[in-house]
Amino acid sequence: MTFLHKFPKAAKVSKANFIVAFIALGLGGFFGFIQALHRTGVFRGFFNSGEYYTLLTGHGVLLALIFTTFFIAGLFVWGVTRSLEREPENMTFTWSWFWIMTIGLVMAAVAILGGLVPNGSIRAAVLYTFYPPLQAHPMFYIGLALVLIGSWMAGADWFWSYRKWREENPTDRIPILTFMTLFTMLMWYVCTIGLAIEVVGLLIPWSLGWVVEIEPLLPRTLFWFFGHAVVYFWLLPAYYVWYAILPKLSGGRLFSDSMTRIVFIIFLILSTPVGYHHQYADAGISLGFKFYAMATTMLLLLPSLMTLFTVVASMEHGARQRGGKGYFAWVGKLPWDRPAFVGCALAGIMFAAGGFSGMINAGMNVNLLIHNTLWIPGHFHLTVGTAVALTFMAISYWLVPQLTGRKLKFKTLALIQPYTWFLGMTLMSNAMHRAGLAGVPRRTAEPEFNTNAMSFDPVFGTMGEMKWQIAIGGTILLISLILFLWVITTSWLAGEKSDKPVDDYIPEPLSGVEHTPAVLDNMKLWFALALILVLLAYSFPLWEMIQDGIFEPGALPRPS
Amino acid sequence: MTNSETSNSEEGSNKTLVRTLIIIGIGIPVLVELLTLFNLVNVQIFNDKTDQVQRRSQPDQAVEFTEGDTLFTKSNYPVVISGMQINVSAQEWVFELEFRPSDTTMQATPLVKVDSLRLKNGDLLRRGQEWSASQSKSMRWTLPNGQVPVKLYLSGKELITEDSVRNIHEEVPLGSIPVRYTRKTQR
Repeated sequence: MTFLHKFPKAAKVSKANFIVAFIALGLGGFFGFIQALHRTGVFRGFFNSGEYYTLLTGHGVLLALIFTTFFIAGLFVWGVTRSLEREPENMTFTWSWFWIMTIGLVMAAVAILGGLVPNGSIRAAVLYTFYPPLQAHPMFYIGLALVLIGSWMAGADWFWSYRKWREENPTDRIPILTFMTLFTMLMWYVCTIGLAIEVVGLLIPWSLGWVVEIEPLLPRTLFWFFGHAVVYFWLLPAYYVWYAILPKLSGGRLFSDSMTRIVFIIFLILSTPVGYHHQYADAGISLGFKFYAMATTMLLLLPSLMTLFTVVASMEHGARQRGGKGYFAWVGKLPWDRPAFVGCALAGIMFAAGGFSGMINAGMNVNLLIHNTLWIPGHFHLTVGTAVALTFMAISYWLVPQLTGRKLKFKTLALIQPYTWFLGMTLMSNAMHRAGLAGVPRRTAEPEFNTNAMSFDPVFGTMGEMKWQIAIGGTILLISLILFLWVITTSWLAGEKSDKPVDDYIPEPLSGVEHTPAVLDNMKLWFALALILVLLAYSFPLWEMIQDGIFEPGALPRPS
Repeated sequence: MTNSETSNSEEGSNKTLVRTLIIIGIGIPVLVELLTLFNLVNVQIFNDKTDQVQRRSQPDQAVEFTEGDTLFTKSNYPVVISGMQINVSAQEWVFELEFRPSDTTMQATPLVKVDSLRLKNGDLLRRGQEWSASQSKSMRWTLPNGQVPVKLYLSGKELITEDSVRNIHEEVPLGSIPVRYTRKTQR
């Protein structure tokens, strides 16, 4: 018996979410490939440079918002159902949030892709950040608002299941899979307050023409209220996989239950007050607030380093169970021939590299060296583009068989896939970081480093070499993506049917819940603390903006 | 062949595949990152700092003209590039150039002409536009998508005496040209 047979209703919901996620992944990934060739000037025949921004928006929105949100929803339905051992409470409600998100996604996608229709009036080439002065068709904002509402309802659905479970199990500790789900969603509720106010209160009225003038600083600030915490909304489900499933795939057990819970609590508390570190170059925010954001950002390194310790310790335990010995020789005993393990492990390694470049981004002074350069996409292709995306792809090799009741097909191709992703992303991201150090800007269709009109001074190497490294890396990534989609599609449709297509048993942690302080499960306490920190971080700067005339058109874009 | 021999053979080929994947999929990335680290450290610590300072203090190209720069500075009719940008819409890729007379223009009606544009791909766009240097002038060229002008070829007639004229030609290498995306569509 696997998940499909025990919980058929939940499996259907998970599968529906995964289908949408994988379609978005395929489309968004293909857009990324076109961008890599266009931007480097290697091949510019797909679309013109005006349409590049439509593709860039599609790439960002489809991958960073749609693929992630739907995959996370499917993963959390699986986790909550499995750990609470109950189907969703009301299937009408469950399907309603799925369809609201899907309708929203279709509206946003139509608005974006409308930019490719000649003479079309529906456009949304506003990039992933979508704040003014760039303006999209109202359908884009309304669609995103629906995705947001749907995700809130999905969270409510999981809290509903938890509440029902709690009524029947008043003294039990929250199962770890459900704990991670609920704390991720609490963080999501906190950080999406900013996005909801921005989209519903400012952008929709503006795009409909009800508001004529809009001061960019306020929507930018509200976006970044959400815009950095959303990174943790993507990352925490990857952590969820690394904590709950990767130890098992390594052949061992999770090192510590309490460490896991502490890490999720710290992310709930600290994820949102850090948003100003994306606005170091914004003149309208006082320096002191930016310094506060830098300090809290650096504090976020703590849970990431705790994760590094816990996950590596869990993997070492697994390797030693498989006969590994020595200080480092145990690494060779890890199952490097299992695609689900390989993908998660390589994603974790890449996340460490992304963490290092993230420290540069977070530093107020050194940030100016790389601000708005190609370094930034280089950084987030390591974090969301690999740590998250590769983890999601890899764990699909383990989850999809449970949801479909079919064994994985083409296991060799599945094994090649994470290695090729790691190779392609290293080549592309390495060159992006180096080009950023040379000052090559981001968010432009023009390969400036390829023209006589502008030249850059790389620290070492040549701009031409970086250009080719990005193009080759992007091509390898597309090949890896095709391999993934091929393996998943064929397994889903034609894999051998089985009652137990994978070993889905998850062992108890080495240091179990009996060693975990009860206060860690106090959701009200940690949620209240998170709200207080957000209030402290944002009330003063927002008040300052209002004092400076943020609602008065023509006000100076700086503190008085 | 027995089942165990088949299994051993499959296991052997699987091990070879895994080794190959680790060498290519992890070995190359590690090598790339190590080379990057080595080069960064090498440049920062071991390169001659004087060379670095001199190299970085020099402009990348001797002269590049952008918005606000003055042309024909040694003549009696200098003109200023008052606007230069590429406007992009979904349908068009248009280079727009504006000139205005300099405050020091001395002659009354000298004629200046943009003879042609050299594009990034080496093509020459020959569609000359002439105007009086004492007046402002806007001009536009529809370019092939993705192309950027890198050089202007200008000419002018300078009055030396009442009855003699000297023709002057100037090649103007262009600096970075801002590219603006507009939502304008052709109806």
